[in-house]
Amino acid sequence: MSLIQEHYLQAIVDGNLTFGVSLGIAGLILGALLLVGIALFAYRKTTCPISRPWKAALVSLRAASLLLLGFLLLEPGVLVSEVTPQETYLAVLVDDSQSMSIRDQSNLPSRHEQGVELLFGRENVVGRLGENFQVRTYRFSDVAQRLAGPEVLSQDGEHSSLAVSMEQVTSELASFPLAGLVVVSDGADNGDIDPLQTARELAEKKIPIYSVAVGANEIQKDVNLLDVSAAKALLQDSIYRVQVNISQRGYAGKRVRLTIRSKGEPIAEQQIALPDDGKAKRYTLELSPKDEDILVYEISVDEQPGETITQNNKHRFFVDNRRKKPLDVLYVEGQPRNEYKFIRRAVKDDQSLRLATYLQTGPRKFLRQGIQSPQELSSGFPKQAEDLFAYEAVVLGNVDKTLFNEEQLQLLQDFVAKRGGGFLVVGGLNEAFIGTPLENLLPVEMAYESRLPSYLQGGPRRGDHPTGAEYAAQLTREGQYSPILRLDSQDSKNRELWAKMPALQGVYVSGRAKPGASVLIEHPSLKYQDSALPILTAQRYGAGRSMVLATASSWRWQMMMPSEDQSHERLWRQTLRWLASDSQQRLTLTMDRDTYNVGERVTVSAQLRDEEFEMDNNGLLWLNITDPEGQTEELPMDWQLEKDGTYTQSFTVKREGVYDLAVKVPSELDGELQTKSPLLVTPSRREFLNAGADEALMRRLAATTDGRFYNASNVHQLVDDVTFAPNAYSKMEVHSLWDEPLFLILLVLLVCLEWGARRLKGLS
Amino acid sequence: MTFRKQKQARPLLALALSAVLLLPASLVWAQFGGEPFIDREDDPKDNRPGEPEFTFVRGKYENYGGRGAGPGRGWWETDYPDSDRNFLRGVRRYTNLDANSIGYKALDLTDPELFEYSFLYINMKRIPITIPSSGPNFTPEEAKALREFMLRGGFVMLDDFWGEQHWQDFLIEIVKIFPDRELVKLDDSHPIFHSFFDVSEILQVPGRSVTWNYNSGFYLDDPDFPPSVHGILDDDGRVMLVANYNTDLGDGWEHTFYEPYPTRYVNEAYKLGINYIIYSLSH
Repeated sequence: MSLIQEHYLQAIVDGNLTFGVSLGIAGLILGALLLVGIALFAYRKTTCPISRPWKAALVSLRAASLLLLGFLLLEPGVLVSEVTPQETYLAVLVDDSQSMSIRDQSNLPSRHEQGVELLFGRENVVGRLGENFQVRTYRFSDVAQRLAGPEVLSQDGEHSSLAVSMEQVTSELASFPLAGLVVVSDGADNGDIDPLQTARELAEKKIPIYSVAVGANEIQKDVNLLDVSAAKALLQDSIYRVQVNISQRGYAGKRVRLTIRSKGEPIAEQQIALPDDGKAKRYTLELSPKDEDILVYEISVDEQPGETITQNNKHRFFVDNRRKKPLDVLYVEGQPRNEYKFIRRAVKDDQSLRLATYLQTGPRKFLRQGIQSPQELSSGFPKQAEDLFAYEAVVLGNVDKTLFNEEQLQLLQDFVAKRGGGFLVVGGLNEAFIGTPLENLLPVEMAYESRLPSYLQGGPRRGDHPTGAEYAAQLTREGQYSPILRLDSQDSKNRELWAKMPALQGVYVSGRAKPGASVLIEHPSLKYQDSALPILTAQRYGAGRSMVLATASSWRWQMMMPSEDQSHERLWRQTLRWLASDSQQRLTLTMDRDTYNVGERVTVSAQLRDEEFEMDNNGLLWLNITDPEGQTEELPMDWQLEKDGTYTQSFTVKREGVYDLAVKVPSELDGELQTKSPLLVTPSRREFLNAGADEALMRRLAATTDGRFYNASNVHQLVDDVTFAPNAYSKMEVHSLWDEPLFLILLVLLVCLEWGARRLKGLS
Repeated sequence: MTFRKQKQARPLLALALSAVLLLPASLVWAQFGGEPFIDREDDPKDNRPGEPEFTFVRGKYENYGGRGAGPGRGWWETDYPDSDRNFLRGVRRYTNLDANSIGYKALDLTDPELFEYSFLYINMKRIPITIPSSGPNFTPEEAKALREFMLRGGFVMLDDFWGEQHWQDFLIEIVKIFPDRELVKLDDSHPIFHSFFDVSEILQVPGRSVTWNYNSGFYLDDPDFPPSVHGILDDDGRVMLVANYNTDLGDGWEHTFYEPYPTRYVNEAYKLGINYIIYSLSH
């Protein structure tokens, strides 16, 4: 029992003191003086003499007693705000997300246990609130649900969205007088909406938030696998890089094992040194998947002794390594030569590339290789967009301009700019192409040979003249880091391998690289216009890419290296893949995220282009969904009015595992066009990333809404605060103070003291 | 004096000979599959600096004793360099290759420069044809170089060996290069016979001192020497070595402008040779 109710004191401090008997200021002063006078009068004469100090003390005690009595006779009261019992509602929201299961220190209860103790345990906050309010309890994670009792709390919510939950509860109780929200949470919010925004809206409605924080702000011992990035789809025999970000606390510099598992079996391992406390570091592992399938991997860091959260030590991801339709590359070569032969050989085993070649062997004599049908290239370089645009990249060798008409040259420019194809010239284009669309397309300026300095006029034939001599390929800085020219993923090893590459021979002289183009290889000694002669140059052009290799001697990287060496093959595969793999597809499928959790809604978006790669708004698209158990569902996709060629559809994922999605465009004319993508549904780790409690957020929620913040030390005040805090539905009531124990005790104390003093001094 | 007279007489003689030879030579060209004669500048006017992109490389090898032995000599040089020059002239005229009639050279099989080229011609000839253990006797280094040359992507054309004894010698040499690869007889449906010209029949291109010797004492199309073409394939089924047995393309090329040599066989020698080059540069 307290001597006086705390909120009375607060009310007094706030100046909400009233009196039943009103005397006015003058009356009060006169009354007080009178009482003091009475005290003085009473001690005017004493039965035995006492010293002046004692007399003063006795007078003071008497006066104080009289003043207190006088104060109480004035019927003092405090003005407090109060709810009408059971007429006002109060919502209590309890966080039931997975992060509430965290035990911040091994000797402490979990966050969930702390919350339950506060609400339903010794303090019995919910029970006591129920004396005055209609209490509605909810558990919340991504949304809020009514809570029957603490035993129902399961800490299995995969999201914490304070904003959504508070909005939902206030809207559910919108037709009731809502006095406020009591929110018990660790504040580890990971929703998409800022809870403070919702708090500001509640403040406008005068609904205060009484926030109760549980958990520790900083987790002392934890290794946290933050995120994993890896390509979703692979080309054949690619080295697949998995990059993972790891942060930690409590294990700085410790060497731990990072493992990738497939179907439970470890397939890659690396010992890593953990970063400093609170810092994140990126680690890279390489995989070379062989199985042609959708491969689901789990990457994990071993659980460390004393670690607070182990759920964030692993992560699942997938790669689509199913065999795909090869990328179609058209290679037109004007003469039989080594470069042609060895480019074909380099990519022959690459299942992700199909090289269809058109070789001019003699005047009006052509050899077609790698064709899919007798009709392919039967009338030479494609004349129709639909025929040319069926390829993903075009390579031109030493071709004569007479091989093309103006329309075909324009088509080739459109192929790159609009269709997004790749374009490569091996060697150089002769002067006849100056002024044609191909000049535009090249990443280097074309030059008339007669206008070159004499030492650059010799041509690329093998010889002692400067442009026919041998030279070492000089990789520019950009070239060293380009995926096209990588011979090894390690920088030092890459440099070492390049240093061993045989010399190139002969250069097709061009002008400088165009602005925006990247020179990847340059001539080590020959210069023109103050720049080293570009040997390999690439640029983005419209939606596509163009590249020129200003030599026809890369075959020397094959013939002059041991037969087992794969550098030449690797470089050409990487080059052609770079040219072709980013080309636009007629039908593409995208999702808003890489992985999803059960119950989430997936929005699939498809983009359709017609045969000339213009956006197609007249498609009839179907989304075919196959869930992990093989159940299929087919949904029509809706055309998006505001986005050309875009169609969308949404659905909810209900099972963990790999979903197979296919978008199909059935058409009687072309047969079926379709594209596929897998989708991985995993257990959520969101609650265990950045899982430290956010006390600051909880404080701001309270402050923004004129509520109050609590933790274990002051939660006992919560019931009174809520009961007496002003809100939209409370009324002001006068509470008498005369019966407060404080005053009685004070009066008795004063009288006893005076009596004791008199006895001591022998007064009667 | 005599010397002087001779010197004066030679240009005139050459001119007269050229006039005589050019007529049948142009007839020879006209035989090739109805293709028009391409009027291009001939070699002396190809004044661009440096080697043409295609160089006809002839392999020099160690050989057994016999006529080809001796300092600076060898069977490798049979028909050399006339056959190489003539053939290159044909290659230049009929194909789009960057080649000219001086773009040929002979290299030791162990010369590292060999790997700067991808087409290699080796003549296997020895006379008389019945002696055993004659002709090439590849050293281990030569066999290793040839094997590596082919595995890297080079193409080897063997030519001009005749009869059972040569066949056996040939097998001995081949086993030195590829002890574990099969020798395959290529029939006329193989792409190598259709890479440029359509060759539907393997003819016996007459070999000097075998089936032809300036029109005296030998039989054309001698049934004792049935011609055939054999190959060694790489792991992908592409021909990396081709061997002309009982036929001599080198002589066909060499005697292009020699009137008594039968034109029909010259044609066949060029067709097959060009087909081999186009195949080698496209496979």
